Amino acid sequence: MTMRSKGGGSDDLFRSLYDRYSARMLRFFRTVFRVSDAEAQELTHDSFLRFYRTMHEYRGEAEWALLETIARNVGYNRVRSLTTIKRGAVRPESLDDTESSRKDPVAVQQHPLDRMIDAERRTRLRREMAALPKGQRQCLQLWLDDWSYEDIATTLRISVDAVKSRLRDARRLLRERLGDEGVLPEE
Amino acid sequence: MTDKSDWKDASRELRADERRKLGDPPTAEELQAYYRGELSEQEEDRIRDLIVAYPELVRMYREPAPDAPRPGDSDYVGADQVASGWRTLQQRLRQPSPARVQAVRGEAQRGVLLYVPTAVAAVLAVICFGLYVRAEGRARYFAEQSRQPLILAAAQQLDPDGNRGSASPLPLRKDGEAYLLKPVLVNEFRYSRYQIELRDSNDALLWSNRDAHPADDEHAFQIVVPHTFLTEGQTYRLGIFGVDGQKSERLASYEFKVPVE
Repeated sequence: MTMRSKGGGSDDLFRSLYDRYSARMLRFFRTVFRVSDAEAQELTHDSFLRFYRTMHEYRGEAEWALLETIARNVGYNRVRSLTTIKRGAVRPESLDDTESSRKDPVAVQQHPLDRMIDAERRTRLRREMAALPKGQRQCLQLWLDDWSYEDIATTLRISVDAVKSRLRDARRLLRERLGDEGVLPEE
Repeated sequence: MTDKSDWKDASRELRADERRKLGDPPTAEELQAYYRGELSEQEEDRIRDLIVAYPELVRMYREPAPDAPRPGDSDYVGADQVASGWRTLQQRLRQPSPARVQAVRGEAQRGVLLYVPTAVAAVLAVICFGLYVRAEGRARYFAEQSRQPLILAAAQQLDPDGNRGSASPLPLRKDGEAYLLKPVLVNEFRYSRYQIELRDSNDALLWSNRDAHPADDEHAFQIVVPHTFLTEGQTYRLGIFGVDGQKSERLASYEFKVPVE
């Protein structure tokens, strides 16, 4: 393997980085990517191996920052590949949703007519949300996921003011198109 | 009045439609490029759509890292466990990685260049002798190179043609003694084996490997190509095929150009 031709100094550095940061990386995978202990261990090793392969470029700076970036990519791509496999099999359910924000199980037992009315209302809401200008719809969907203005702004690479303005416009448009039914709840 | 859970449900249904329409989530590399502002406007727009379609993944990607566990924490890892983890990692390091497609060497060339039909040699002895000497020297050079350590340039990611960025061939950077090419395969990892082909601009096959595997978790293959294998100023094309028994399916192609020094 090409990597084994590295000098002893590199190997010592690699060992030292592993000793110092492997525990932190394990915790990182468990808490950020919510994987099991065994998966966290495997992902930690994957990340260190990936670092080892490019260690010749490493200049000895920002140790954890570099390892974290590698770990983040490795973890993300693992979760992403799982999502890709499952895509279409289940309806999307945000990990950020709280239990209270999901439909009450009692609703399953409601009268068929009420269920039909609910379904029709959701269809109207979905149709009008889809009809919003894209920027407004994107802000609205992330806001409905309980993202802060700052997080939405950073993620969409726009200003916080732009987020607020788009949400304001979205509220107005939905109200115009759906009447009272289109009133979005306040914060 | 419509409550927030109704809106959330409607948004979730809308998101399901979006996912079906847009396809798979962005890769980590795409997210990095997006946040660094390195994408074209059109590409940035595409990634933004995907982010809104897969917000839980993106939030995960951006979630701050926790501090290191301290003694007393439930997930504190003692020195024994670290040492045990290190031993496991060493075992993995010692295993030859199937992901690494260390394939493009001079060996294949050697056989081809040395094979000069005897009949032709008899007729064109002088010319062939010259060619032979040249070929022998070249083969020796390649063979020698294949036994020597190579200094690799930084990995150069190749994105599938038509998937990202410009349609023109990617110019390679010429550092080190060999190129480390990383063709990224987007969401086609359902095959147990892959075939990789390298062709020149005339579509002549220069090299092929029928038992390639992507690098662990990188969604990319890694191919080491000595500088001497490629000609300056020439354009080349890599093709990746999924292999299923005797059948193979083209999955992606990548065009790149070798710079002139």
